[in-house]
Amino acid sequence: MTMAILSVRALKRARTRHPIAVFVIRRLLALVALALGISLVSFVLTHLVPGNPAVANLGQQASNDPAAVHAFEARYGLDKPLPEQYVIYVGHLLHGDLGVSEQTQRPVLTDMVSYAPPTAELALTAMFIAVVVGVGLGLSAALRHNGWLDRTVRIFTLVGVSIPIFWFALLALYIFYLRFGILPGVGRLAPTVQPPPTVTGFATIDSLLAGQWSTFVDAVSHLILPAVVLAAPVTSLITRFARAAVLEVLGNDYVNAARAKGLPTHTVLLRHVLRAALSSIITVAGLALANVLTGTVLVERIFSWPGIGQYAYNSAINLDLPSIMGATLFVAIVYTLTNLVVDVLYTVIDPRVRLA
Amino acid sequence: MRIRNVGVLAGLLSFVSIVAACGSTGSSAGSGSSGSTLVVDSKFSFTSKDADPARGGVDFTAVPLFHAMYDTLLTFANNDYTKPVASLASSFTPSADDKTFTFKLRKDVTFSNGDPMTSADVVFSFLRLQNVKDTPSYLMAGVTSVTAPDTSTVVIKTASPDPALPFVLTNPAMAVTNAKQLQAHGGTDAQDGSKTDSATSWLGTASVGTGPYVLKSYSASAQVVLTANPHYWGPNKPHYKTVVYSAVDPDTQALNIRRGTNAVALDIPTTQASGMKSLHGLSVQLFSSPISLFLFMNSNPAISSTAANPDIQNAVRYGLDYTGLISLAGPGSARAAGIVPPGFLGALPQSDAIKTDLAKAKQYVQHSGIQNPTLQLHYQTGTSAIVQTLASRIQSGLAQVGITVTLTPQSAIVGLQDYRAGKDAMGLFNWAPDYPDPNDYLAFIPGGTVGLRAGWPASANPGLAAQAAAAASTTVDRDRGAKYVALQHELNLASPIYPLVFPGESIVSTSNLSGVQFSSVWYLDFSQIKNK
Amino acid sequence: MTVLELVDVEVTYERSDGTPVGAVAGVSLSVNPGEIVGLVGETGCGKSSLARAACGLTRVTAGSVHFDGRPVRPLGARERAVQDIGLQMVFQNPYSSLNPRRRVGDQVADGMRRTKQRDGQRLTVETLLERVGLAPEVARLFPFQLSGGQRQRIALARALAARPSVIVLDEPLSALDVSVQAQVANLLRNLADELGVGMLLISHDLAIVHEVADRTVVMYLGRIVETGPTRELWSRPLHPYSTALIGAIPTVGTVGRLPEALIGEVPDPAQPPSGCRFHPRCSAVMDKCRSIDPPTFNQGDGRSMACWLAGPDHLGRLGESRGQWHPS
Repeated sequence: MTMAILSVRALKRARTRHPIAVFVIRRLLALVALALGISLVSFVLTHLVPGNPAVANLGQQASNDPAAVHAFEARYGLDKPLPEQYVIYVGHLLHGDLGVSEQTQRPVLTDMVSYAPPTAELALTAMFIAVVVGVGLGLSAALRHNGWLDRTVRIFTLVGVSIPIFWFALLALYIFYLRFGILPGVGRLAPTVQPPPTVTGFATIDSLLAGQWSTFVDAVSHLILPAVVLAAPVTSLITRFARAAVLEVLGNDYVNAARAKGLPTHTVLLRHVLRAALSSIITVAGLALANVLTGTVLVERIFSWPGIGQYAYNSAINLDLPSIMGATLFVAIVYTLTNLVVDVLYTVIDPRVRLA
Repeated sequence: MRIRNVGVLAGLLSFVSIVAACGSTGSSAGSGSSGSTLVVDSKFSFTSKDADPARGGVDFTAVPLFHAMYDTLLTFANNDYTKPVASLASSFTPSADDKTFTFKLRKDVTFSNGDPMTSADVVFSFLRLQNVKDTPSYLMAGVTSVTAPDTSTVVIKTASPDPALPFVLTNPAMAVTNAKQLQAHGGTDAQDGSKTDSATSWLGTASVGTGPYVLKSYSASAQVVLTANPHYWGPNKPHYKTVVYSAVDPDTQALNIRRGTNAVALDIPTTQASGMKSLHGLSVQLFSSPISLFLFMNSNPAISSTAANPDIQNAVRYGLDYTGLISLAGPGSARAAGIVPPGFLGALPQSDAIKTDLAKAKQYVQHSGIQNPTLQLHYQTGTSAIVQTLASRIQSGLAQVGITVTLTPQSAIVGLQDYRAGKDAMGLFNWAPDYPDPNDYLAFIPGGTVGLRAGWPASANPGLAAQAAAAASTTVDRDRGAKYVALQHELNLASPIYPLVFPGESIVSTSNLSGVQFSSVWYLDFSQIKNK
Repeated sequence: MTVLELVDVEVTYERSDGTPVGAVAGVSLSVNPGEIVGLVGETGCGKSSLARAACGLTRVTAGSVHFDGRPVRPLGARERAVQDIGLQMVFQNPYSSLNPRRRVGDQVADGMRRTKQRDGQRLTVETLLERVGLAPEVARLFPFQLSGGQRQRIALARALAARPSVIVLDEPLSALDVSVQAQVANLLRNLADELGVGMLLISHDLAIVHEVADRTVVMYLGRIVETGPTRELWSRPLHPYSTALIGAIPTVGTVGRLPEALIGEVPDPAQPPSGCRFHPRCSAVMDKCRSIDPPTFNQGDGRSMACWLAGPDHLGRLGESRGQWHPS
């Protein structure tokens, strides 16, 4: 009893002293519940697909052989009733065991560890490009509202969100790789380049850690095209939002007041304009990350990028249920964590959320 | 600094950093391969399962790798698929009844780690393949025992006469693996191998064969790197020290090959590839794939009384616009005169193919008494672009003889199940040979694998079933060929399965390469490729 | 010794359909140190446009705005000249005029560096807060933690941080509660008296203007119709429009409302009436008013008005008016 009261008190104290920490912990606990929910939904969905994993995985001949089909189903527990399969799955999941992939014959977790870093490297680079270019363009367009730059930016952002990503990928490859040869083609490294020892799984960082400067340059040059292609639609999105947000802020009298005080230009832009526009930019960046993750499926295929997107695609066409579940959970958790980060950032940049 | 310059500066900075990065790497761009590296682009997606011959897919994207890393007891020479020749086995002797096969092994063969190859390795490899009960395990169907009377002799016994066994042994899945190494990493040839064998994921990191190349690394689904096997026993050492087998989208392959050196692209669509013939520095080969595309009508009246009607079946047989279908299938495609691909034992000459006869077809429709016959055509999307095109052409062609076809495309994973369960009324599917022997096409006889999918049990045509059984058990190659020719003539006239096309395929390579040679069994032999 | 002087200022903007609108059509006025000039008029008469032009937020189409004898450069993207910093402003809405994401103390302190650059001395945030009647602890708060009146005081403190000679206040009280309005109004009066800051106080609230302004300027449809010391103008308005306006106030000290006594609506500034702009609503309209725009007649005692009633033909009707031409 006293313990309970004490802990309630402790919680209250913690809530007032570290509001953000408590907020984060609460959200992380919710995340566990969410992960279970997602696992249930994706489990049911993947099992509702009117296909048979054994047929998809075994060849023409083997899927005719009851012994082979039975061996396959026994190996992956597919011969048990569906609810039991789910209970077993969750039981393993709670121990961090995502099962064994039918395609790679490796634990799904091991697969995730090897496929996630390339995707992360690609997606983070794309996000970096999108945010820097998007905010830069959005800001300059808004500052010259209705000027030629603004008009050009508006047209380009419209094009950027409209063109299909695969078409853009092929066009970029055609121009920069085939036609002018200033950038390499597909893959993470040139075929002749020895990959650096894996530390982070990021080819760029690992090559730097290994002190292989030429490998680093090669990795960066391979990263540029897919990252730019992946960033293009998102950059347009961020540009449009940043432009609108900055325009809105510029209409506020406190910007005029700041200018009237004779504040230096960059102070006005950083302290007032960008800071106020930041919350909408962060919101759209969170959305953009979802777009980028979706885009990786296509971009990774075209650029032969060994990431989660390819992994998910191959798992899906082969009805590799443990891998599909693993990839779904992974993406869902990344997405939820992104939202959490966005929410935390809100509280950091906006005192009204933090203190209210 | 003026306000409006800040935003521009931010954009400019990022742009400059990108351009700077481009500039500094200009030299490395397009360096497809250096002198000692061969780069082969394929649309495959490699997983460690594909590195285990006992479990891997038998599809064409994976077999070149098996063929490079592993040898088989027998093989083919000079693209002659009618006669298996010695490889790891120096000789083989079938018994008179074709139920016992005795192989003498070469004594000078070593694995890539230097271990000598013995009969124990062969026995282990074959039994493991049989017992893991995975995709290629069916190749061991009918084999009752694999034994090793001495270190250089292997004896295989089959339940019934099996003249096709030597052909089966050329399949890359019949690879001979290093038993000791595999056992050390979880491999087993025990009966319960489907549960206990755990060597597959390790095989994604190392190869244990006798082939000209060894597996150096595979990075997820992007590329497989092979290096020359230092202990290779064969007379011709591979020319290229390193082979990079890259997973590349077909669209991108066309770009890659144009910038590459020492490069080969395997999946450029034939229409595009034939257009590349005029490009300097490339050599383009077009050929027909041994994968047969066929149409079938379900003879089971419970599925569709229209499709099962013999008159309608004949109307389709003569109403199909075969010539139109070939031209639609693109450059390199060949008419399937019979179901057995050209170059295989028992293949039919082009002149024996069924010819389109619209008048006859219309008569059959009339004779059937069915008013406005309608059929649902099932096919898989995503497997090949031409399937969709051919399905539309079949639809418009049959409309001319008064048969309405509705198209039902399905995704591969969904479509396969109904097809294999024999539930499709009409289907457009393909058959990839498991080994280059007409025995593999017994699937198309009444009661065969595909026959049953078309609702065509042995009881539906006992005469044909008996004729096929006779062909299957014939032991003299010459007679086998003749019997299969006769069988296919009969099938062409009576079967509800209509062979349509062997679709065109292409191999595009940089013209400095020689020895880029398509094979119906292992697709491409990396070790034969040389710099001119 | 005028610190802010507007001469024949015109502000024209374009509507979205391209019609030019003369929001301010030739206005001259001046503000002296320590003086509060109240600018009154109905909504849509061009007060706000004039206020924005006066502090350089809007570019003037014609005429000139001088601050300390130098032309005021429009406030744009570029950094403001240090000499112009003495011209400050307070906006109508204390919610949008403070940055919601920064502590109010930081916002007040903004730009003190530039002030120091100019004056060689630096005020403290605490002094400024004290001056506008706020406790020093308020500096650590964010705008959303303050009431409307407190925010407007912060806005004032922020303006005072620049040690201004003139503050243009555009409807600074209209968003506040009635009780708070009087307090802030008194604060304005005190600041003007103690610091010698000139103020241009724009308001449609006549009571406030009456209470704090030294001089009152009455505006109608982009023009100044009457100017004079507040007390005199209030006790004896000359222009028929001023009469109507002031007559509309029930009692001094309560909230002033728009002159309901006036018939008709304020005409569209894009198509002002011919002659005197007020003539369609004027109770004393004459033929002349319909065709000829009246000039500003100096009425003595610092008073002037633009009405033909003060013209040569009508001297008699205006009692002590001397009715001299005052060509503009």
